[in-house]
Amino acid sequence: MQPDVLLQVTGLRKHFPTRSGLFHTGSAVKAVDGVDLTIKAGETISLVGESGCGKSTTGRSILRLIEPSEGEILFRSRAIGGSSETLVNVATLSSSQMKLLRREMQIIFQDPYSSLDPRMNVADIVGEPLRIQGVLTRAERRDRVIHLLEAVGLGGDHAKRFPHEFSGGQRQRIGIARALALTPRFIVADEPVSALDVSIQAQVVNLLQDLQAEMGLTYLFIAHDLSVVRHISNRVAVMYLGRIVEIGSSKAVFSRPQHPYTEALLSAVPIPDPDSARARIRLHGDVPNPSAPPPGCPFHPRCSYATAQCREQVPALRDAGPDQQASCHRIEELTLAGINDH
Amino acid sequence: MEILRRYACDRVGLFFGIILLGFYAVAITAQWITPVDPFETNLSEGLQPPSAAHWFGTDQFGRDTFSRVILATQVTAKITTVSLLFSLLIGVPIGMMVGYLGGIADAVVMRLTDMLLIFPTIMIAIIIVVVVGPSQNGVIIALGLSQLPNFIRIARSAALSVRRELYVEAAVAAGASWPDILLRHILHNISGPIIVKSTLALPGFVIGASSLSYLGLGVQPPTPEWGQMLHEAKDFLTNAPYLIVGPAIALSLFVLAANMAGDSLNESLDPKLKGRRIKRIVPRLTGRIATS
Amino acid sequence: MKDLLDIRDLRVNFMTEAGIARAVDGIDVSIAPGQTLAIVGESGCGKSVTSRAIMGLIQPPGWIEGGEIWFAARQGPTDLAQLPPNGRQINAIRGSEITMIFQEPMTALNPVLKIGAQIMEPLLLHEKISKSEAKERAIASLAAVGISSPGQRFDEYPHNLSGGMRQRAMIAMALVCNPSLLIADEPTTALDVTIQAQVLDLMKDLRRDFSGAIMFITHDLGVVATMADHVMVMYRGKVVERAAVRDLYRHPLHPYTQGLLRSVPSIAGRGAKRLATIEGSVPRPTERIRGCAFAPRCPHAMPVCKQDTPALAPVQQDHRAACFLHHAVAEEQAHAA
Repeated sequence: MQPDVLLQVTGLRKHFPTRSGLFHTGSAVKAVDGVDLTIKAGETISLVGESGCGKSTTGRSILRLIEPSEGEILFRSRAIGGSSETLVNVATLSSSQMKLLRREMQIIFQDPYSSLDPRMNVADIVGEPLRIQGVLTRAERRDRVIHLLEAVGLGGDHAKRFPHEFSGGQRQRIGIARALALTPRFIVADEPVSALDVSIQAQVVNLLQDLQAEMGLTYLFIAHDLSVVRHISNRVAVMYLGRIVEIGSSKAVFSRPQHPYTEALLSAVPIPDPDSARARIRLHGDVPNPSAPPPGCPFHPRCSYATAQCREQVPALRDAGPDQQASCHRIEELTLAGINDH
Repeated sequence: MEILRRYACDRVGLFFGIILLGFYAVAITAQWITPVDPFETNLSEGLQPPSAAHWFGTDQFGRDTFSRVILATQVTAKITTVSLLFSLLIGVPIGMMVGYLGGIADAVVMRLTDMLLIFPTIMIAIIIVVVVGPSQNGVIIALGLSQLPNFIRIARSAALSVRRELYVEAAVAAGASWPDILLRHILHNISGPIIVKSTLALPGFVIGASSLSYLGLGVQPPTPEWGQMLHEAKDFLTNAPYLIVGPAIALSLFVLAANMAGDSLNESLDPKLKGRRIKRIVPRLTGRIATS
Repeated sequence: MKDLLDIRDLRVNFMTEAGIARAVDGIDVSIAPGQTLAIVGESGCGKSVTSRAIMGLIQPPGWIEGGEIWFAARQGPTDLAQLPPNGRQINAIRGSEITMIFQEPMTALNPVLKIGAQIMEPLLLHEKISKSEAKERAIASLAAVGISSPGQRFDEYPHNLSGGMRQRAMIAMALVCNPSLLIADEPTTALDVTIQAQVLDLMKDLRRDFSGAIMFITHDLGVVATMADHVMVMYRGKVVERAAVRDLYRHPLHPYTQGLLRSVPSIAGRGAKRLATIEGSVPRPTERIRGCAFAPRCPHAMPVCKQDTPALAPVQQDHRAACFLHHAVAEEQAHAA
């Protein structure tokens, strides 16, 4: 593993068994079906894709909020093994080691309503990770909570209030403060701004970027809003039916997509400009059922460039340009439309 | 507190809530407020109709029915409270645990409760009393056990709905163990519904206790209990019908009060019902303003 | 009256535990026949409440406090605000002359009724036609919204359809009676981006054949730019700006509109490292504010903004803004005219 890599995921799979009739063995839903992902320290990498593509399951499996079915998750840990950095496989850690590791890996949720316990006040919510980990005394905890609240742009005087007294944007700030309480190095941000109004969304995106610069955070940013993704991320991975179909620097992926699905996704985004004249690539049909993915390239039934090869052979993720990989048989032949910087 | 405030807005609910509390006040102070010793027999004054001295009359042994109804309130309150606590303290932790953890334990416990629920409450109670023997403790165990499946189910379904909340996941992400999550998040968030369901279950306990005593399987004479008093009164139905009035009124009023208070507590707890009362008032108000 | 819909000084209040919330606080809206008007704004700005008021769907604890909703119904101009909420008159209009598409197709369709039966329902209710005729028209409308093998879909239940297909079925249901006004309340918000693109394309195609007007309610500025001819921006129950779509995006006049447009990150990766924001948050709906509701967050706020409420006044031809920054211009123009 390269020295600048913080987290390396190899062959991650999560299959959910489906329940069917008494005498049938149900086929599994392959929510995540072989994801490889390398995350460098200090970067923001985004996972994009439509609902059911497995992006959220990937993020939660990395944190072991969902137990992965298969795969290796290497993380450069400081909490485990004293002060020096130790390479650990998150997927096989014992529960006591996992508890230690949670100081370094945290999560920010999409829904600012269900993510805060309605019966707890803000100080208890933000201080909860500290209490669970037992790292500070009660008084120290109180000071730390106030410091955290100020860091996310809320006043220390908010500490004794309850979640229902806050707006959506403020609640999301409370959730961010909680994620930061243990000074983690790696944060999975699961659609952190999707539920917010545009003007509030911009505030929270800025806050996330400021905190990253101050605290040297690494983000795995899960989102479906491509404009926000373009703005916030260094690299982007596009997921379809549990697999990464394209990954690369966000500039490359957005301007020169190498996978037809990425092209379709980009062209589907409505641009806030009435004069933008874009040829829209219409994708036909819907995403196939993840318990019975089509043979060959999982995208071929909706792809307008599909050939006989695509119907039979599963394409592997391969180099498609400097710092860009895609899983498509026809990378060399196709020139796909990206979003041009006029 | 919010719930109590909303509850206090409901006049009907508040009225019956006060009656319910009144029953418990009587139960606690029963020893001191009975006008006559409820055990004192006076055969020469047997089967007397209601009078200034004996408001509900006297029974065949000349005991004051009014005093006995008061003491019976204490007996009933004790039986129901203890058996309710019994089901709560055993059922809620089990239900919460299997609801949160799921898996095989959940499947086993749920099938067991299903099996218990097949039989009518009173039948289970009778079986248990037959085993333990007819006594006050027998009734308590019988009622507690027969209501146990209901409380396991209530706690389980409440825990199931809280389990999926993101704040529980956030606690897991911070390294919390499952007992910690049960105590900190789940118990906290399900206590409201549990209290309401307990109130709503109260009438069932009272009727159960009285039925068992009526059948002679519960509280034994001379200790008075509403059901047991009704049992004794039924033999004198033709020449002293007034004997059933006291225990019957007490029993019905208690059941009614617990039902009504529980219902309105339930309403004030459920956020979906929020503003329902306001809903009824506002259009009328604005209509009046518009016409004036 | 040449407008299809003319809303005058509509006010809708809601009773909440914290007091009276003025969800819609005196708005004027007019839609000409055939026009597509988008209403944009953030959550709680009153855009959805406006549409529900038109449909007569304001339920307690809400009520229409005042104002008129004139609609050019087939029977002649009608003030919808005066009709009893469940009366015969509103029922004759609702579902046939004015129809609505909702955000969540799964909850808006009845799960136990077949798609076909649900599409036929408004036809059988409002038009005197036979069942077989209704079925024919329902299948035709399913075909029109791009549902393949509509004859077969006719006999399926909502859960057999995907999210995008359900939204198409909703649209078929809304258009089957040829309404003169279609209200679309965030019709694509719950959909994935490629499915959203399909549905938006469909709505644009349909607009060519559909003679009625569309009122499109959304918070997505990208969707507005692709769909609408006119845009109305709402903030806290009031209209702050109204213009043709191109004018609004090229020359937004109200500081709120400007801030809103600036806060959307560019998908082309243009723009600064930090996003422009509108500071603070929307005041609670129960809070009474003196003057312009946006003044506390406005970078250009003047003393007058905290004293008086600016009216929605024409600044340029067909471009109105409720802002004192532009009132001087507006007044000059009024004098010149």
